Amino acid sequence: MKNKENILNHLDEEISDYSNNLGDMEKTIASKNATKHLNIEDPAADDQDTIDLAAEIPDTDKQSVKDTDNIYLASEHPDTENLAADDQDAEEPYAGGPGGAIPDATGTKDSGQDKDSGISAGIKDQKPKDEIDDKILVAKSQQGDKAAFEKLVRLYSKYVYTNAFFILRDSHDAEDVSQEVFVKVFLSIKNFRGLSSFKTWLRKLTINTCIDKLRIKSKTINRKISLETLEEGYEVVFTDLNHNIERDFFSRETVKEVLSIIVNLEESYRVPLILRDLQDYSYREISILIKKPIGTVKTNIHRARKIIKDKMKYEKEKKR
Amino acid sequence: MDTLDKYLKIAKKAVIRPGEGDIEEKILKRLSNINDKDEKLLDDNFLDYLKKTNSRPYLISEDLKNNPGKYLMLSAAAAIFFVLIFVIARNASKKNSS
Repeated sequence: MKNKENILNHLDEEISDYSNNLGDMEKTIASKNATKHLNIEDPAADDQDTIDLAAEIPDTDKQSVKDTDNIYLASEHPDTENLAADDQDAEEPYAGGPGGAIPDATGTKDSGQDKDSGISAGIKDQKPKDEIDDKILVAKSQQGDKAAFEKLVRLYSKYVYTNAFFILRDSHDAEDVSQEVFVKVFLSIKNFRGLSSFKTWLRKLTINTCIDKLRIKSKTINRKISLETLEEGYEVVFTDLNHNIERDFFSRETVKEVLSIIVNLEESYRVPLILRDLQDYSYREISILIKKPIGTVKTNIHRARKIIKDKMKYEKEKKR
Repeated sequence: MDTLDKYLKIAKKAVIRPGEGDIEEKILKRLSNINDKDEKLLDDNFLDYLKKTNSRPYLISEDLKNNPGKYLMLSAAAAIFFVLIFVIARNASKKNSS
Protein backbone atom coordinates (compact mmCIF):
# COMPACT_ATOMS: atom_id res chain seq x y z
CA MET A 1 0.00 0.00 0.00
CA LYS A 2 2.79 2.39 0.92
CA ASN A 3 4.46 1.69 -2.39
CA LYS A 4 1.25 2.50 -4.21
CA GLU A 5 0.86 5.76 -2.27
CA ASN A 6 4.48 6.66 -3.06
CA ILE A 7 3.93 6.00 -6.74
CA LEU A 8 0.71 8.06 -6.73
CA ASN A 9 2.44 10.95 -4.94
CA HIS A 10 5.31 10.78 -7.39
CA LEU A 11 2.90 10.84 -10.31
CA ASP A 12 1.05 13.84 -8.81
CA GLU A 13 4.35 15.73 -8.48
CA GLU A 14 5.28 14.93 -12.06
CA ILE A 15 1.89 16.07 -13.33
CA SER A 16 2.10 19.36 -11.41
CA ASP A 17 5.67 19.94 -12.72
CA TYR A 18 4.50 19.20 -16.24
CA SER A 19 1.53 21.57 -16.00
CA ASN A 20 3.80 24.31 -14.58
CA ASN A 21 6.19 23.85 -17.49
CA LEU A 22 3.27 23.95 -19.89
CA GLY A 23 2.04 27.18 -18.32
CA ASP A 24 5.50 28.75 -18.69
CA MET A 25 5.70 27.65 -22.31
CA GLU A 26 2.27 29.11 -23.06
CA LYS A 27 3.29 32.41 -21.45
CA THR A 28 6.49 32.51 -23.54
CA ILE A 29 4.58 31.74 -26.73
CA ALA A 30 1.95 34.39 -25.91
CA SER A 31 4.61 37.03 -25.26
CA LYS A 32 6.46 36.14 -28.49
CA ASN A 33 3.18 36.23 -30.35
CA ALA A 34 2.35 39.66 -28.95
CA THR A 35 5.77 40.95 -30.03
CA LYS A 36 5.28 39.62 -33.54
CA HIS A 37 1.87 41.28 -33.79
CA LEU A 38 3.35 44.55 -32.67
CA ASN A 39 6.01 44.26 -35.36
CA ILE A 40 3.47 43.59 -38.05
CA GLU A 41 1.10 46.33 -37.05
CA ASP A 42 3.72 48.95 -36.46
CA PRO A 43 4.81 50.58 -39.73
CA ALA A 44 8.13 51.39 -38.11
CA ALA A 45 8.64 47.68 -37.66
CA ASP A 46 8.17 47.22 -41.38
CA ASP A 47 10.84 49.82 -41.94
CA GLN A 48 13.06 47.92 -39.59
CA ASP A 49 12.59 44.82 -41.75
CA THR A 50 13.71 46.79 -44.78
CA ILE A 51 16.78 48.02 -42.99
CA ASP A 52 17.64 44.50 -41.88
CA LEU A 53 17.12 43.23 -45.37
CA ALA A 54 19.40 45.88 -46.81
CA ALA A 55 22.01 45.12 -44.19
CA GLU A 56 22.11 41.47 -45.26
CA ILE A 57 23.12 42.20 -48.82
CA PRO A 58 26.40 43.50 -50.22
CA ASP A 59 26.86 47.26 -50.65
CA THR A 60 26.72 47.03 -54.43
CA ASP A 61 23.22 45.61 -54.30
CA LYS A 62 21.89 48.09 -51.78
CA GLN A 63 21.27 50.74 -54.38
CA SER A 64 19.23 48.33 -56.49
CA VAL A 65 17.09 47.53 -53.45
CA LYS A 66 16.34 51.21 -53.03
CA ASP A 67 15.61 51.66 -56.70
CA THR A 68 13.28 48.71 -57.03
CA ASP A 69 10.15 48.05 -55.03
CA ASN A 70 10.54 47.16 -51.41
CA ILE A 71 9.89 43.57 -50.52
CA TYR A 72 8.61 43.07 -47.05
CA LEU A 73 8.48 39.68 -45.50
CA ALA A 74 5.43 38.75 -43.57
CA SER A 75 7.15 35.80 -41.97
CA GLU A 76 3.86 34.70 -40.54
CA HIS A 77 0.74 33.54 -42.29
CA PRO A 78 -1.43 36.50 -43.43
CA ASP A 79 -3.90 35.53 -40.77
CA THR A 80 -1.39 36.54 -38.12
CA GLU A 81 -1.76 40.08 -39.27
CA ASN A 82 -5.49 39.67 -39.19
CA LEU A 83 -5.47 38.03 -35.82
CA ALA A 84 -3.60 41.07 -34.65
CA ALA A 85 -6.37 43.11 -36.16
CA ASP A 86 -8.79 40.99 -34.11
CA ASP A 87 -7.33 42.46 -30.97
CA GLN A 88 -7.88 45.93 -32.33
CA ASP A 89 -11.43 45.01 -33.20
CA ALA A 90 -12.09 44.15 -29.63
CA GLU A 91 -11.15 47.63 -28.53
CA GLU A 92 -12.63 49.55 -31.41
CA PRO A 93 -16.32 49.15 -32.18
CA TYR A 94 -17.41 48.49 -35.74
CA ALA A 95 -17.75 52.00 -36.98
CA GLY A 96 -18.06 51.35 -40.70
CA GLY A 97 -21.33 49.46 -40.71
CA PRO A 98 -24.69 51.09 -40.95
CA GLY A 99 -25.63 49.56 -37.62
CA GLY A 100 -22.93 51.53 -35.81
CA ALA A 101 -21.13 49.95 -32.88
CA ILE A 102 -21.36 46.19 -32.98
CA PRO A 103 -19.52 44.10 -30.41
CA ASP A 104 -16.88 41.64 -31.55
CA ALA A 105 -18.92 38.51 -31.99
CA THR A 106 -16.11 36.01 -32.07
CA GLY A 107 -14.64 37.40 -28.88
CA THR A 108 -11.11 38.46 -28.11
CA LYS A 109 -10.59 35.69 -25.60
CA ASP A 110 -11.51 33.10 -28.16
CA SER A 111 -9.15 34.51 -30.72
CA GLY A 112 -6.41 34.54 -28.13
CA GLN A 113 -6.99 30.90 -27.42
CA ASP A 114 -7.01 30.19 -31.11
CA LYS A 115 -3.68 31.85 -31.48
CA ASP A 116 -2.10 29.72 -28.81
CA SER A 117 -3.67 26.53 -30.02
CA GLY A 118 -2.61 27.43 -33.55
CA ILE A 119 0.98 27.70 -32.46
CA SER A 120 0.95 24.52 -30.46
CA ALA A 121 -0.76 22.76 -33.35
CA GLY A 122 2.12 23.73 -35.60
CA ILE A 123 2.41 25.23 -39.04
CA LYS A 124 1.14 22.06 -40.77
CA ASP A 125 -2.22 22.36 -39.00
CA GLN A 126 -2.56 26.05 -39.91
CA LYS A 127 -4.50 25.65 -43.15
CA PRO A 128 -7.36 23.43 -41.93
CA LYS A 129 -7.68 25.73 -38.92
CA ASP A 130 -8.03 28.72 -41.25
CA GLU A 131 -10.75 26.92 -43.15
CA ILE A 132 -12.57 26.23 -39.89
CA ASP A 133 -12.19 29.91 -38.95
CA ASP A 134 -13.58 30.87 -42.35
CA LYS A 135 -16.55 28.57 -41.89
CA ILE A 136 -17.30 30.12 -38.50
CA LEU A 137 -16.96 33.65 -39.86
CA VAL A 138 -19.11 32.84 -42.89
CA ALA A 139 -21.78 31.22 -40.69
CA LYS A 140 -21.84 34.28 -38.44
CA SER A 141 -21.94 36.62 -41.43
CA GLN A 142 -24.89 34.67 -42.79
CA GLN A 143 -26.67 35.38 -39.52
CA GLY A 144 -26.07 39.10 -40.07
CA ASP A 145 -23.00 39.52 -37.88
CA LYS A 146 -21.23 42.52 -39.41
CA ALA A 147 -18.16 42.16 -37.21
CA ALA A 148 -17.63 38.65 -38.60
CA PHE A 149 -17.97 39.95 -42.14
CA GLU A 150 -15.51 42.72 -41.38
CA LYS A 151 -13.04 40.04 -40.32
CA LEU A 152 -13.55 38.24 -43.61
CA VAL A 153 -12.83 41.52 -45.41
CA ARG A 154 -9.67 42.03 -43.38
CA LEU A 155 -8.60 38.43 -44.05
CA TYR A 156 -9.10 38.45 -47.79
CA SER A 157 -9.01 42.06 -49.04
CA LYS A 158 -5.31 41.91 -50.03
CA TYR A 159 -5.76 38.48 -51.57
CA VAL A 160 -8.63 39.71 -53.74
CA TYR A 161 -6.76 42.92 -54.59
CA THR A 162 -3.63 40.97 -55.63
CA ASN A 163 -5.56 38.61 -57.90
CA ALA A 164 -7.34 41.56 -59.48
CA PHE A 165 -4.13 43.56 -59.88
CA PHE A 166 -2.24 40.78 -61.67
CA ILE A 167 -5.04 40.35 -64.20
CA LEU A 168 -5.99 44.00 -64.66
CA ARG A 169 -2.53 45.52 -63.91
CA ASP A 170 -4.13 48.75 -62.80
CA SER A 171 -4.40 49.66 -59.14
CA HIS A 172 -7.61 51.68 -59.53
CA ASP A 173 -9.34 48.91 -61.45
CA ALA A 174 -8.09 46.38 -58.90
CA GLU A 175 -9.54 48.51 -56.10
CA ASP A 176 -12.87 48.81 -57.93
CA VAL A 177 -13.02 45.07 -58.49
CA SER A 178 -12.10 44.36 -54.85
CA GLN A 179 -14.91 46.60 -53.65
CA GLU A 180 -17.37 45.15 -56.15
CA VAL A 181 -16.48 41.59 -55.17
CA PHE A 182 -17.00 42.26 -51.47
CA VAL A 183 -20.30 44.06 -52.13
CA LYS A 184 -21.46 41.01 -54.10
CA VAL A 185 -20.32 38.72 -51.31
CA PHE A 186 -22.02 40.89 -48.68
CA LEU A 187 -25.30 40.87 -50.57
CA SER A 188 -25.27 37.17 -51.35
CA ILE A 189 -23.47 35.50 -48.47
CA LYS A 190 -26.77 34.20 -47.10
CA ASN A 191 -27.12 32.09 -50.24
CA PHE A 192 -23.59 30.65 -50.05
CA ARG A 193 -23.95 26.97 -49.16
CA GLY A 194 -20.26 26.37 -48.49
CA LEU A 195 -19.81 23.39 -50.82
CA SER A 196 -16.42 24.80 -51.77
CA SER A 197 -14.20 26.75 -49.40
CA PHE A 198 -14.94 30.44 -48.98
CA LYS A 199 -11.49 31.32 -50.32
CA THR A 200 -12.05 29.33 -53.53
CA TRP A 201 -15.49 30.86 -53.96
CA LEU A 202 -14.07 34.35 -53.47
CA ARG A 203 -11.13 33.72 -55.79
CA LYS A 204 -13.31 32.47 -58.63
CA LEU A 205 -15.71 35.35 -58.12
CA THR A 206 -12.79 37.78 -58.32
CA ILE A 207 -11.45 36.18 -61.48
CA ASN A 208 -14.91 36.23 -63.11
CA THR A 209 -15.36 39.90 -62.21
CA CYS A 210 -11.90 40.73 -63.59
CA ILE A 211 -12.54 38.88 -66.85
CA ASP A 212 -15.86 40.74 -67.23
CA LYS A 213 -14.03 44.00 -66.60
CA LEU A 214 -11.37 43.11 -69.19
CA ARG A 215 -14.08 42.33 -71.75
CA ILE A 216 -15.75 45.69 -71.18
CA LYS A 217 -12.37 47.40 -71.30
CA SER A 218 -11.33 45.71 -74.53
CA LYS A 219 -14.50 46.94 -76.16
CA THR A 220 -14.03 50.53 -75.09
CA ILE A 221 -10.28 51.09 -74.81
CA ASN A 222 -7.40 50.25 -77.11
CA ARG A 223 -5.96 46.94 -75.90
CA LYS A 224 -2.35 47.86 -76.58
CA ILE A 225 -1.28 49.66 -73.45
CA SER A 226 2.14 51.19 -73.46
CA LEU A 227 4.44 49.46 -71.01
CA GLU A 228 5.38 52.89 -69.68
CA THR A 229 1.84 53.41 -68.47
CA LEU A 230 2.00 50.28 -66.36
CA GLU A 231 2.28 50.78 -62.66
CA GLU A 232 5.73 50.05 -61.36
CA GLY A 233 5.26 51.26 -57.83
CA TYR A 234 3.44 48.25 -56.45
CA GLU A 235 4.81 46.58 -53.43
CA VAL A 236 5.09 42.80 -53.17
CA VAL A 237 4.70 41.09 -49.81
CA PHE A 238 5.44 37.42 -49.40
CA THR A 239 3.34 35.44 -47.01
CA ASP A 240 3.55 31.98 -45.53
CA LEU A 241 7.02 31.29 -46.88
CA ASN A 242 9.25 28.65 -45.44
CA HIS A 243 12.28 29.95 -43.65
CA ASN A 244 14.83 28.86 -46.26
CA ILE A 245 13.15 31.02 -48.88
CA GLU A 246 12.76 33.87 -46.42
CA ARG A 247 16.49 33.91 -45.90
CA ASP A 248 17.23 33.61 -49.58
CA PHE A 249 17.19 37.20 -50.72
CA PHE A 250 18.03 36.27 -54.29
CA SER A 251 15.08 33.87 -54.60
CA ARG A 252 12.76 36.65 -53.52
CA GLU A 253 14.34 39.05 -55.97
CA THR A 254 13.93 36.51 -58.76
CA VAL A 255 10.28 35.90 -57.87
CA LYS A 256 9.72 39.64 -57.93
CA GLU A 257 11.40 39.76 -61.32
CA VAL A 258 9.17 36.94 -62.59
CA LEU A 259 6.06 38.75 -61.34
CA SER A 260 7.21 41.94 -63.00
CA ILE A 261 7.64 40.10 -66.33
CA ILE A 262 4.19 38.51 -65.94
CA VAL A 263 2.54 41.86 -65.24
CA ASN A 264 4.18 43.27 -68.38
CA LEU A 265 3.04 40.41 -70.61
CA GLU A 266 0.42 40.94 -73.27
CA GLU A 267 -3.13 40.17 -72.12
CA SER A 268 -3.51 37.05 -74.29
CA TYR A 269 -0.44 35.55 -72.61
CA ARG A 270 -0.77 37.08 -69.15
CA VAL A 271 -4.32 36.04 -68.25
CA PRO A 272 -4.04 32.33 -69.18
CA LEU A 273 -0.63 32.08 -67.49
CA ILE A 274 -1.89 33.67 -64.27
CA LEU A 275 -4.98 31.48 -64.25
CA ARG A 276 -2.97 28.34 -64.86
CA ASP A 277 0.19 28.89 -62.81
CA LEU A 278 -0.92 31.23 -60.03
CA GLN A 279 -4.59 30.26 -59.69
CA ASP A 280 -4.42 26.52 -60.53
CA TYR A 281 -7.21 26.61 -63.10
CA SER A 282 -7.38 23.71 -65.55
CA TYR A 283 -6.84 24.35 -69.27
CA ARG A 284 -10.52 23.54 -69.79
CA GLU A 285 -11.67 26.10 -67.22
CA ILE A 286 -9.40 28.77 -68.72
CA SER A 287 -10.68 27.98 -72.18
CA ILE A 288 -14.31 28.43 -71.03
CA LEU A 289 -13.51 31.57 -69.06
CA ILE A 290 -11.62 33.46 -71.76
CA LYS A 291 -13.65 31.92 -74.58
CA LYS A 292 -10.68 30.56 -76.51
CA PRO A 293 -9.98 26.99 -77.72
CA ILE A 294 -7.95 24.78 -75.37
CA GLY A 295 -5.20 24.51 -77.99
CA THR A 296 -4.80 28.30 -78.10
CA VAL A 297 -4.74 28.45 -74.29
CA LYS A 298 -1.99 25.81 -74.10
CA THR A 299 0.04 27.51 -76.83
CA ASN A 300 -0.26 30.93 -75.19
CA ILE A 301 0.77 29.59 -71.79
CA HIS A 302 3.75 27.79 -73.36
CA ARG A 303 4.79 30.98 -75.16
CA ALA A 304 4.33 33.07 -72.01
CA ARG A 305 6.60 30.71 -70.07
CA LYS A 306 9.17 30.87 -72.85
CA ILE A 307 9.10 34.68 -72.78
CA ILE A 308 9.63 34.67 -69.01
CA LYS A 309 12.50 32.19 -69.27
CA ASP A 310 14.15 34.17 -72.07
CA LYS A 311 13.82 37.45 -70.21
CA MET A 312 15.21 35.91 -67.02
CA LYS A 313 18.12 34.50 -68.97
CA TYR A 314 18.72 37.88 -70.58
CA GLU A 315 18.61 39.67 -67.21
CA LYS A 316 21.00 37.11 -65.74
CA GLU A 317 23.49 37.62 -68.57
CA LYS A 318 23.09 41.39 -68.29
CA LYS A 319 24.03 41.27 -64.61
CA ARG A 320 27.22 39.36 -65.44
CA MET B 1 11.21 20.73 -60.89
CA ASP B 2 11.65 23.43 -63.47
CA THR B 3 13.24 26.59 -62.02
CA LEU B 4 10.43 28.74 -63.34
CA ASP B 5 7.85 26.43 -61.76
CA LYS B 6 9.69 26.82 -58.47
CA TYR B 7 9.49 30.61 -58.66
CA LEU B 8 5.87 30.55 -59.77
CA LYS B 9 5.06 28.36 -56.79
CA ILE B 10 6.58 30.98 -54.51
CA ALA B 11 4.85 33.75 -56.45
CA LYS B 12 1.49 32.24 -55.48
CA LYS B 13 2.19 33.44 -51.98
CA ALA B 14 2.93 36.99 -53.03
CA VAL B 15 0.47 39.67 -52.07
CA ILE B 16 0.45 43.17 -53.49
CA ARG B 17 0.25 45.91 -50.94
CA PRO B 18 -1.97 48.65 -52.40
CA GLY B 19 -0.09 51.87 -52.96
CA GLU B 20 -2.65 54.47 -52.03
CA GLY B 21 -4.47 54.07 -48.75
CA ASP B 22 -5.71 50.95 -47.10
CA ILE B 23 -7.78 48.66 -49.29
CA GLU B 24 -9.50 47.13 -46.25
CA GLU B 25 -10.78 50.48 -45.09
CA LYS B 26 -11.91 51.40 -48.59
CA ILE B 27 -13.88 48.17 -48.87
CA LEU B 28 -15.41 48.60 -45.42
CA LYS B 29 -16.34 52.18 -46.25
CA ARG B 30 -17.93 51.00 -49.49
CA LEU B 31 -19.83 48.30 -47.60
CA SER B 32 -21.20 50.85 -45.16
CA ASN B 33 -22.69 52.77 -48.09
CA ILE B 34 -24.53 49.91 -49.75
CA ASN B 35 -27.88 50.92 -51.20
CA ASP B 36 -30.60 49.47 -53.43
CA LYS B 37 -28.63 50.33 -56.58
CA ASP B 38 -25.97 47.83 -55.58
CA GLU B 39 -28.48 45.02 -56.07
CA LYS B 40 -27.77 45.53 -59.78
CA LEU B 41 -24.31 44.07 -59.20
CA LEU B 42 -25.99 40.72 -58.67
CA ASP B 43 -26.48 40.31 -62.40
CA ASP B 44 -27.28 37.14 -64.34
CA ASN B 45 -23.61 36.15 -64.58
CA PHE B 46 -23.21 36.32 -60.83
CA LEU B 47 -26.49 34.54 -60.08
CA ASP B 48 -25.51 31.80 -62.50
CA TYR B 49 -22.14 31.48 -60.75
CA LEU B 50 -23.85 31.37 -57.36
CA LYS B 51 -26.31 28.72 -58.55
CA LYS B 52 -23.51 26.58 -59.96
CA THR B 53 -21.32 26.82 -56.88
CA ASN B 54 -24.27 25.83 -54.72
CA SER B 55 -24.91 22.69 -56.75
CA ARG B 56 -23.04 19.58 -55.61
CA PRO B 57 -23.67 17.59 -58.84
CA TYR B 58 -22.30 20.52 -60.86
CA LEU B 59 -19.17 20.78 -58.70
CA ILE B 60 -18.56 17.01 -58.93
CA SER B 61 -19.04 16.98 -62.69
CA GLU B 62 -16.70 19.97 -63.02
CA ASP B 63 -14.07 18.25 -60.89
CA LEU B 64 -14.44 15.14 -63.03
CA LYS B 65 -14.04 17.14 -66.23
CA ASN B 66 -11.09 19.11 -64.90
CA ASN B 67 -9.23 16.08 -63.55
CA PRO B 68 -10.10 13.20 -65.89
CA GLY B 69 -6.73 11.51 -65.33
CA LYS B 70 -7.18 11.40 -61.58
CA TYR B 71 -10.58 9.76 -61.80
CA LEU B 72 -9.40 7.37 -64.50
CA MET B 73 -6.58 6.23 -62.20
CA LEU B 74 -8.94 5.89 -59.26
CA SER B 75 -11.47 3.87 -61.22
CA ALA B 76 -8.69 1.66 -62.66
CA ALA B 77 -7.33 1.06 -59.15
CA ALA B 78 -10.82 0.27 -57.87
CA ALA B 79 -11.42 -2.15 -60.78
CA ILE B 80 -8.11 -3.95 -60.11
CA PHE B 81 -8.97 -4.16 -56.41
CA PHE B 82 -12.39 -5.70 -57.06
CA VAL B 83 -10.97 -8.17 -59.61
CA LEU B 84 -8.34 -9.23 -57.04
CA ILE B 85 -11.00 -9.68 -54.36
CA PHE B 86 -13.13 -11.69 -56.77
CA VAL B 87 -10.19 -13.96 -57.76
CA ILE B 88 -9.19 -14.52 -54.12
CA ALA B 89 -12.78 -15.29 -53.13
CA ARG B 90 -13.18 -17.73 -56.03
CA ASN B 91 -9.94 -19.54 -55.19
CA ALA B 92 -10.98 -19.76 -51.56
CA SER B 93 -14.38 -21.22 -52.46
CA LYS B 94 -12.71 -23.75 -54.81
CA LYS B 95 -10.38 -24.85 -52.01
CA ASN B 96 -13.31 -25.23 -49.62
CA SER B 97 -15.33 -27.30 -52.09
CA SER B 98 -12.38 -29.59 -52.87
